[in-house]
Amino acid sequence: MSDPAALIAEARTHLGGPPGPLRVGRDPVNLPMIHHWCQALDDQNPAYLDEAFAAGSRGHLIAPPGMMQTWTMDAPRGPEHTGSNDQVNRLLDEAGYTSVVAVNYEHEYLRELRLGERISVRSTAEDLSEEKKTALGLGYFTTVKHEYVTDDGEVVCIARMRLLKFKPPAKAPEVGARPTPAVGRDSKFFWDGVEAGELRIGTCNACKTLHHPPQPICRACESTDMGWTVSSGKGVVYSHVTHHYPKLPGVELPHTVLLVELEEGVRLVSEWATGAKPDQTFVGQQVQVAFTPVPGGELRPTFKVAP
Amino acid sequence: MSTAVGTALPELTIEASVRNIVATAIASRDYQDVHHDVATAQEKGSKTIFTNILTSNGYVLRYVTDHFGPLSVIKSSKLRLGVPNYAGDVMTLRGTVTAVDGQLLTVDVLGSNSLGDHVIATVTVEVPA
Amino acid sequence: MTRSFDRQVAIAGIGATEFSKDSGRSELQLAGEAVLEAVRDAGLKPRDVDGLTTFTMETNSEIEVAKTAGLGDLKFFSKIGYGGGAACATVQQAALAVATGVADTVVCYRAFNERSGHRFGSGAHRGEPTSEGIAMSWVSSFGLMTPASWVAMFAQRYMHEYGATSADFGLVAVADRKHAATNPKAWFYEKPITLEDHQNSRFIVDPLHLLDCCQETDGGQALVVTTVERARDLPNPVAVVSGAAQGSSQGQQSMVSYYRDDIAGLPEMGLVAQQLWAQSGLGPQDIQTAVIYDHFTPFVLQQLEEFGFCKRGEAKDFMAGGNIELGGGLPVNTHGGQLGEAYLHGMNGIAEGVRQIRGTSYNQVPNVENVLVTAGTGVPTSGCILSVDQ
Repeated sequence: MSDPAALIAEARTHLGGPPGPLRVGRDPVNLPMIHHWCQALDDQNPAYLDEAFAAGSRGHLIAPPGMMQTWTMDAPRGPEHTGSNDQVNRLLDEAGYTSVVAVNYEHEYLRELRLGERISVRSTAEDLSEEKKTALGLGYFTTVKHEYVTDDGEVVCIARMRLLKFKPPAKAPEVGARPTPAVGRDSKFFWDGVEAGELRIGTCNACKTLHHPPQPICRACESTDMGWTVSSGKGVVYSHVTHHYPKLPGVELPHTVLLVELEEGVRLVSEWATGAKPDQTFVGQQVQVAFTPVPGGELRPTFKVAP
Repeated sequence: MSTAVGTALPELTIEASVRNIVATAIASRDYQDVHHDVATAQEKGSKTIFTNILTSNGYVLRYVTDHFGPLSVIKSSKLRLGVPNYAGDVMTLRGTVTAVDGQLLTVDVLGSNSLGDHVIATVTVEVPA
Repeated sequence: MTRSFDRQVAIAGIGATEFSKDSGRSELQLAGEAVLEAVRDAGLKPRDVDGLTTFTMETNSEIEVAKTAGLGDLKFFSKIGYGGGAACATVQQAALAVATGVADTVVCYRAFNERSGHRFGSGAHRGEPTSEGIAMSWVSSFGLMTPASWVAMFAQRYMHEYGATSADFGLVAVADRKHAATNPKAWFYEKPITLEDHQNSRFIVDPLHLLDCCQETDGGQALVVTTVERARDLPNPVAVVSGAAQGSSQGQQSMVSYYRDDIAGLPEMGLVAQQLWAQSGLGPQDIQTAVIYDHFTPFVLQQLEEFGFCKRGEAKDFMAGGNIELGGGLPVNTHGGQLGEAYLHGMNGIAEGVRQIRGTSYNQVPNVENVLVTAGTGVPTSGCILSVDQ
């Protein structure tokens, strides 16, 4: 049987079903493990370790309530996993919902535990949601009820854990790193500016003509005395495209590329800042420069919608 | 000690050092590799190792009993789990009394770190008269 | 008849940078300075230069040098192979261009940092990227990496300025595929498409759909050029070259000339058009069919406008109603174009032009006297007019 819908339907028939064999804690509630826990969590509550305090208050030491599950952690399982919770998990696995993450963790502590008590647990599948679309992927929320009992059958704690069993989404293809810009003697200032958080535009020191892309000789006055000025970074979208195919190195598709006309009058090709792509891109849209990393981690001068 | 509704508990910060994450996971008998093995945790899609759930619950309860004293008795805890608490981060616990019913108090506890809310909890605790 | 340079051509200026072990500046700057110095020595202005020749090994392309030195529109540009063997050939090709009137002022150049940069003797390549590499980097660094995307950027602006739509671009694809459908040599023989097919095809680079883009092809195409006199003695009807021109206009870049005042036209093709009409004495009204370069549909519209078949922005109206299909006012790409027949960098289009002159096309247009053929768009380009022998 491999039809996911049928597998889920079968899982539902196990809800509220028998818990399966009791899982018995490896060790009774004991002082060394409590000591270890208190040390690790730096819990100095004298109710757990201070015999004198215990004698003067409850009359005995108690276990930290947060250790409830610890007493049955890694408890041996029987060879057959026949409990309703085991069945639900198996069927969800078979249906492809193989990953798990805990969402809720709830305990009702019916009484405090004392040294020497042996704790066991039985688990029942209580609920299975409809299929949900989550940030992690498609999945089902399952609720499992854990009852912690003593050897003589007294229930000392009722816990509920809500888990998301989900299909790990098909791993987004690794886009790799964006090609590193070819930087030459005549364009180094531009990329140094990006590192410094400045959008620098090649400028003739003699006649102040702006050049982008930069060039080593001014085409207006033939001067080779070229420098740069810092742009306000304000501009408008002059044209734009959205790339769908083929895959490109260091580009997450679909990818919108902008041709921005800066208010200083020069144009440059750029893209939306990481996470700042608006719902719509249109000619004439007012934009403002940002400096954000592209896949691979290098910075680029990018743009976001002007406030 | 005030137990009135609105009483704020003093903040508690817990450094999620590698040592702390590993020690608490093992103390709670949780041997899952994502709580002690950085390489495996990363292979499974996490940034690094992170605090296990039993420990987060343990810290929330400790936070409440630290404040209300060793005679207070935890009756229930309800945790909603959020962003992971990764090694290298710092979790800050903040709490407020939100309901009082005789000696039974309800305390809302929020544990947050640099990524956001790690644990959003409601604890009921019985305090001595 | 003996044909020669006939003492028509001269070298009028020389210019160089200093010669050093470390120039301290980019190869592009060295080329620009040398060219400007030669132009000054000749007593000319940069804008007077309308041709460039250099080596295939030169890293500074003609368009980068022209942009940097502020040269005029280029009607002739060529690169010669085989390392240092190209030196005198740069003069030879410049002379050919000047002697035939293709260009008036051609500068031959070569510049490099062969000592401080990449030394031929050093083996592995290190050092500065070439100016051509840097030029492409201004777009590729932002994820604009494919020909379709480069063209799409122009197309989007054209749509914005003139109200053209994707469906207008689709008219080109429909005409090409209609012609290919009846050309047994075409890849898309017997596979016409509808405008709906075009509109429903997936986006490659929005606003370009799959059916706006040509296929890629393996193949070869060659052409024999000789004198008309000799051709008349050969078996086929003569296809006279009544015009042939190159064009590279100011601010030209390879596929990404986004920095010029107007990017909704193709000024380099306008420059080709102007020369072809002048060389041939013909005009749009004298052309019975045209092979318009169509690696991507949008640039067909701009070319129709640059050649004056219609006014700026009106190509969409010109093409409507099947006007560029067989039987229309100006059948375009009767072989199926590069969208329908094959993408052979336009060489197969010249062959179709010849067939139309000979009267042997699978989609023959009646009474053909002159055929216009254009070359690649978005880059420095060329065109020619083929005519029947009168």
